[in-house]
Amino acid sequence: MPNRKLIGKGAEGELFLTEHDKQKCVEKIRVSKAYRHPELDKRLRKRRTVREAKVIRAARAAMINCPTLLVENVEKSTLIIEYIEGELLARVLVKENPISAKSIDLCGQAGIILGKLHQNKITHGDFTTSNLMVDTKNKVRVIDFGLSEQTDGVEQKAVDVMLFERSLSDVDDNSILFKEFLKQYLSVDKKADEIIARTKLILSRGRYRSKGQ
Amino acid sequence: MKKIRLLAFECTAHTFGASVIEKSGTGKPNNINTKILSNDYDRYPALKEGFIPRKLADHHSKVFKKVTNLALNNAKIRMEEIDLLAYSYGPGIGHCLHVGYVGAKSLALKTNKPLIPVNHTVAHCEVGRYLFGFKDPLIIYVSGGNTQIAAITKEKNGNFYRVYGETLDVGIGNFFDVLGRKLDGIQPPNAIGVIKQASTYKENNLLDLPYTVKGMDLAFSGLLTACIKEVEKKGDKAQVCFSAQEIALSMLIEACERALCHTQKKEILLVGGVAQNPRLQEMVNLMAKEHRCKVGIVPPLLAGDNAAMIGITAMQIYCSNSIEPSDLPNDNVRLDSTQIRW
Repeated sequence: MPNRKLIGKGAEGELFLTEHDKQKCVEKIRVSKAYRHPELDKRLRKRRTVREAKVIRAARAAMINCPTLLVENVEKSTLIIEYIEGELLARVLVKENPISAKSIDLCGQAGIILGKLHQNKITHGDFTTSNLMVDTKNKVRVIDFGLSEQTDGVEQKAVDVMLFERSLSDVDDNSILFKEFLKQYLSVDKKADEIIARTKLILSRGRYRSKGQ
Repeated sequence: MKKIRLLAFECTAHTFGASVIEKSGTGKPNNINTKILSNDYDRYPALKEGFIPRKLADHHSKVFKKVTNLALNNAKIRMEEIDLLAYSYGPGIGHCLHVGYVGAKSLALKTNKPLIPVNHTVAHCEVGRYLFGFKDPLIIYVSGGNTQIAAITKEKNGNFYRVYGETLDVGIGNFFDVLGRKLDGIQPPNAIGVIKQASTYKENNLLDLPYTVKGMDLAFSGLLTACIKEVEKKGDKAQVCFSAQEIALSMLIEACERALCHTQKKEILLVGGVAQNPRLQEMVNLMAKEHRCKVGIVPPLLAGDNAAMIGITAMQIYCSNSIEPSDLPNDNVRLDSTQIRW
């Protein structure tokens, strides 16, 4: 067993830095949750691992900027994935404040990624700036397909757009970043108007949403 | 230092409540210098027909005087000794809000006292912060109509509650309620009936039902439809209730755990009527332990709709000079639309 180092602890799982075939990689383990019914716990962890593996393979096949899947172990709900050197988009955007040409470009790249994903009938499910990595060549790559689905559903796609907009809200003055994101997103997926319309509908569905929000 | 006494009214949904709050000494209101002297209410009973707004409003106007006198008597305070009045201006059922407004406003005009409008959802959160003295908690606000995960954040124009995640369709209490209505032999309140039914399930077999978490948001309608289908198939009622409860609450805790990892908060507050659910309390404690967080669970009398929480929040508003310009009711004001100046 190579050396393992805990590099991240999310809500759902733990990330370890490890080695596979002498290549630096990330081991993602979906940990058991004490609060969940054991049957539900097993079900969710297993299904999400299988689904995530399937989606990563599909995304790679569609030439989308995301890390490669190296090993899939459903019984241990573990995936071993290529390691990406870089920084989270969320952190980069906080550093690039006020908004710079760089941050606009990065959000545009995120738009292209999401457009391609949706074109290939993949929805991410948690498409926020914390799930986008900026690598050492300033290329944006999408990570964590934990909540992804393979679907052409307008609703799921609209949720992706909405989640991205919301994750920008701390850093995006006058939604400059979001506008660039949308421009690039629409340039890939020409039929996305329906999705944008649905985003508005979902937002209006929030309980007791005040007018204009 | 003179004592400040405040009479608060709660009148947004099924509960009409009145409460007297007393603050002594200087400084911001906290659980040492500010006391809840009384917290009385009269609740419209849960009937098979559900809540009909007109009937709720009639009930509230009928009990207004009785409950107000009860609150004053229990606090051993005369009306003349009251310095301030407060009421919840929303969100809620329009009919009820107007009864609360007219009552509180008339009293304010008659006695020539300031009237402080309070956002009902903010009050639910604030009473928790008051009780446990938490400075910066992640708040799980669960009631019949509301299911939100929120925390106070600093924005350009001041501090506001920010809603990190919420239900995209029905509130969690409402979810249990509608399910209860579809089951034979459950007495209202239906949500409590479902929870009781769930506790009678002696085995441990969980049904495979939809589980919907979208980022930090939740949706219960798919789960609800699946549960109703199980009931129609004449499945074991107790098992359906047990599974519905396990899955709905797990969804909520998962969304909350995501928000916790995102915000890195170290305190969790469980507020609102559904905070009384014992299984939910158990789950929150287990999850918090993993993240080494403190947990505050608001006790039943202050968790469900009540006037004391309105009073506590009104005292904060008064002591920070942030009384809103308009005291008119607003039935769809949100948790994140009120500035927190204290």
